[in-house]
Amino acid sequence: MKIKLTEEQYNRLLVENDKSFLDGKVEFTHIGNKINKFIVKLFNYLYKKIGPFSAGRQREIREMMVRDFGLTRAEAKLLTYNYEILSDQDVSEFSGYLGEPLEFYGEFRFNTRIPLSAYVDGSIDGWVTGHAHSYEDFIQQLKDGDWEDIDSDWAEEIESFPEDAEWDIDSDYAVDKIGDEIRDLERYSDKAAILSRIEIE
Amino acid sequence: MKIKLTEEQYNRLLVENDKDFLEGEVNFRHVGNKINKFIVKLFNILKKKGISELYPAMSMLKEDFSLDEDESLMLAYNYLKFINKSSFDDLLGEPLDFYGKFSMDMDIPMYTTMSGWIPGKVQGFGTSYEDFVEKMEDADYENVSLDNRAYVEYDESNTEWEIDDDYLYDRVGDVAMDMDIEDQIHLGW
Repeated sequence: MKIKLTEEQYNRLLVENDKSFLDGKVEFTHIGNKINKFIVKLFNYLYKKIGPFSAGRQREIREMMVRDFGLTRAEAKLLTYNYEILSDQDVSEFSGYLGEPLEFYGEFRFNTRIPLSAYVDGSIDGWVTGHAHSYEDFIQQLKDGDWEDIDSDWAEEIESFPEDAEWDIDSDYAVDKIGDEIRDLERYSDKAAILSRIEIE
Repeated sequence: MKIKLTEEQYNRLLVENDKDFLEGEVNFRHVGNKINKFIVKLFNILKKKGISELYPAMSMLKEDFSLDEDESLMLAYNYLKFINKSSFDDLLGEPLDFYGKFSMDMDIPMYTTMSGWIPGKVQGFGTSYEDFVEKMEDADYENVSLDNRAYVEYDESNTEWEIDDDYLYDRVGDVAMDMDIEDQIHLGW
């Protein structure tokens, strides 16, 4: 397949950085930061096989890029995202986009302290009470679970072993906490401090 | 009110221990371990007042007859035991059932939901650092992963503990089947 370039497209291809994203922080093995002939071919192939992007076929599109075109998963994610953008503009033939910049789309991570919660068991000295006719009658009630009340003087410490607990992420709290933490960083720190906590996967 | 005794009732009143319960462990100040004339009179009054539940009976015995809490509880229990009898007179000299408060010492199972922290990372997609920060502001993340080499930090001091009722129910029976009565069971609360 031959692709015709306008003079403007040709000149841009000659002078611009066409390799990295995010000020040189990200480079991919098989693709640069612009739509090249390979990507045009890839997008045309996807359109022919699958049609326009749909969220339900996102995984299939990525898998196809990895399996049929030998791209890495990170490359496939970025190209799927860009395919989605162009699909939203009702594009069905992609050669007109040759030389256009690709939008970066990748996995980031924010380093933080994750809130956890756990169900913890413990025990404390106490007593079970009930009414009975005799010791034997009371013991029988205890065996039958037919006692009336339970109490402790609460003066002693509860014996527990949180270190053995099954800790889970406290997702509800995490949602609030992460947003608050970022806003606090923006309010009280400079941008460098925020970026030092963020990494690209 | 006069009460007639059979010869058998009279003889029993003469020779038996009429004071203690639980082999001498419990003595009441105002009542013994058998139904006497005073108790027959009490039961008749309770019945005349139409009282048919434990706590109202206890309350009346305490307030109107100056019996203490434990005496009132035991007599109220015995009153209810015989409440369907047409007359209490023929109960004179019959033994009273002991009915009182007991307790058993044991470890009470507790539970709480504890909060803690561990270092980790929140992961998500973005088109730039700024885009990712915006997503974090909205907590629009995809995944959270923990540093499994780190220890969970937690603070027990503010923990609200509760009795684990479900587990307790099973545990009381188990403890009762395998315990030292003298050390663990007590009269009274």
